Amino acid sequence: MRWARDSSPIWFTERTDSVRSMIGIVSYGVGNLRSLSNALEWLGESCRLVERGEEFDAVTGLILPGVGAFGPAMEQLKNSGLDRDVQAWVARGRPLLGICLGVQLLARRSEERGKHEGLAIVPADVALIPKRPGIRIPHMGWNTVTRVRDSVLWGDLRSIVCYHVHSYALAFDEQAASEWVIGTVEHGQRIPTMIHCGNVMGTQFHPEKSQRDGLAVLANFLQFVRQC
Amino acid sequence: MLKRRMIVSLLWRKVGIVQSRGFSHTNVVGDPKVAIECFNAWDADEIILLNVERDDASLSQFLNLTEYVSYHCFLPLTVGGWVTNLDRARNLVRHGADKIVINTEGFRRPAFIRAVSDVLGAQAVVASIDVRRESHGSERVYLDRGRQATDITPEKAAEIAAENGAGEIYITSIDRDGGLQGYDTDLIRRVVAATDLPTIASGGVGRWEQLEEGLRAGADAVSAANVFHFTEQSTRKAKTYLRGTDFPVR
Repeated sequence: MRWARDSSPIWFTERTDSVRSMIGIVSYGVGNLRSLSNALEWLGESCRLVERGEEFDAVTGLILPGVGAFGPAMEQLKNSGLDRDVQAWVARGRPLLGICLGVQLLARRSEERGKHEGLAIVPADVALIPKRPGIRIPHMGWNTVTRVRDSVLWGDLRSIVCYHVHSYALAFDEQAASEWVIGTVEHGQRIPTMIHCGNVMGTQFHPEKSQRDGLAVLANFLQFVRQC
Repeated sequence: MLKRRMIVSLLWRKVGIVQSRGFSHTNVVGDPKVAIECFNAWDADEIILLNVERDDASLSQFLNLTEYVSYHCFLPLTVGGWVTNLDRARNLVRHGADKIVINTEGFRRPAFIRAVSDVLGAQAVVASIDVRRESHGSERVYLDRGRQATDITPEKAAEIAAENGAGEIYITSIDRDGGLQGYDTDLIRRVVAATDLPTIASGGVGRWEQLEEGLRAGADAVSAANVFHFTEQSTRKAKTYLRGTDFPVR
């Protein structure tokens, strides 16, 4: 028990199933992937870094992480051909979770330092969070995520507080929002920060950095992968 | 609504976690591993781990510690000390750091802040500004663990950081450091106003009310070091205090 001093790990339920699953973490450049693999390991899940499409065959669920700027990240994905591999994975109905910049990369395009095309898996664009008085950009820190729609990613969770760090955010039109957005935060305006439609999910926050609430969300994704 | 953060700063030397007073490090307060375990479970919102060793021969040992801490805490981890080139910053990230603290090199050479920001992203760059008030009353930013004076004002340093792509500011009063008399709230107020960046207040907390004073001065996050080592469950108690204020906390 790693949190030896935590007396109430009630959010963590023992796994009772015996399905073998293996999570692939898409690795395409710099960034701290260690925290994510630590979190998955702590939840009792096996995971591996995947750098080429062929390696996707060995995994049952995929996580697209990411920090930094949209343009360079997208370029890295394209250079390695991983952009098409991820699109093909989704087209085959396999489960995908985008985290932080990873969820933004799923969008159609971003306006971060120039115009960039995204993976166009999610019908949204990425735009700068508008500056308002008293609102600091980047949106950095713990914010309450409000459940706006049911999803397996929420499971039994009602409201969670998770660690965000971003200056850009997904923007949906009303129709797409009703199909995709399952959680929002307030930061000058309402920002979509949890999405789910079919086999594609994403969190703008870092579940692997959000202690028990974040780990519970990751556990829900793993549960979904096992049922896929 | 965005919460105000309460951050535990841990100052590391080869001998262990140390206490600091006016940037002199004397008392060893314990094993970093035990400290991390406690703070992780007890309501800290973020951990800042600083290598304050006298020379950079400590780097590999510090990388191991970073890796250990990252493995054990599912919290944002900010790491710094002796980050003088891009490789060192990258290496810390590879060992599990989410954000890198830049101090000396960043103000000697602001292009370094830009370089790290371009590679790791602005969100990963924390510009640390250490301020000392001179005997005649003027304030100056100090580099190299409080040893080298510059002619930069705190506000100017904040502007330099923001212009060069830092994502956050960590403002420390060297005079208040370890004094347990509370933050230099006037300094914090001015540095917060100087940029739009989230700002972390540091230096001088001895009572939980002083964390609240830092928030009143406009800090987005309040950090403390020594005071968290004095009692059992200290971060939990500090958080309980902050929950009783009108600031949103986790």
